[in-house]
Amino acid sequence: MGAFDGFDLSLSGMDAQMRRLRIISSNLANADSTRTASGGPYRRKDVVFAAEPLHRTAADFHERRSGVQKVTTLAVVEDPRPFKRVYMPSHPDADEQGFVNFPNVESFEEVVNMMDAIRSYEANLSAFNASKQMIKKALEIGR
Amino acid sequence: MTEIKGIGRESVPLELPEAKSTPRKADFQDYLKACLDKVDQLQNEADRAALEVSSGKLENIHQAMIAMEKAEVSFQLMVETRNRIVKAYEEIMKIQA
Repeated sequence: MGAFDGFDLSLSGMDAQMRRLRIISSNLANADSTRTASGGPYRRKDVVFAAEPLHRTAADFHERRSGVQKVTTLAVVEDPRPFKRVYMPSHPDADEQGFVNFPNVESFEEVVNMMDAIRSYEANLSAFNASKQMIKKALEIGR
Repeated sequence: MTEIKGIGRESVPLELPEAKSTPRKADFQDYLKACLDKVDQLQNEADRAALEVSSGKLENIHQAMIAMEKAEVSFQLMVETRNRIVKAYEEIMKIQA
């Protein structure tokens, strides 16, 4: 275990939450987008996180014994839930019956996820500050 | 009093990867040099991270902040090491007085 492993672990957590917040922002921004490059309305997206060893190259004894794993973003997946159908005959994206498919994004759900992302980010930040505090205290040994 | 050993180089048998290319044994100077290089490297990384954030290359501000924290902590460790060395040196100089 290196002296800065705690820093790197917290960094990976902060990175992950930042990425999650970006996806949430994308969902919120496109909550009413009825057209995408791939055709059809915007589909809500989610991030998938995975744990992985802190140092891939040094998969040595110490690494396995310390058991620390950082978080990485595995994939961004699309939400399979159905689109919201709204009757809007004047809309250019309306079908024959006059219904428009709107993205399967629920604003309040995204806001709750957003708050969760912020709290998780803060938790990682607190862990980082704790690591730093410990190192600073160690530097005071014998003073 | 003849058994008191002098403070020679061989009293600090530190093995360092940087010093392995030279045939002589790694001494304290090499150790200090390696420490300084590492501190310097972390400082450079912090500088680069700050620059990359402000120029838009690096995505996250916290990456730069953490790079700077690493640089700060390693620098403080170096300062502490220096303080100990100077203290030891002063103690030794007192022997002559």
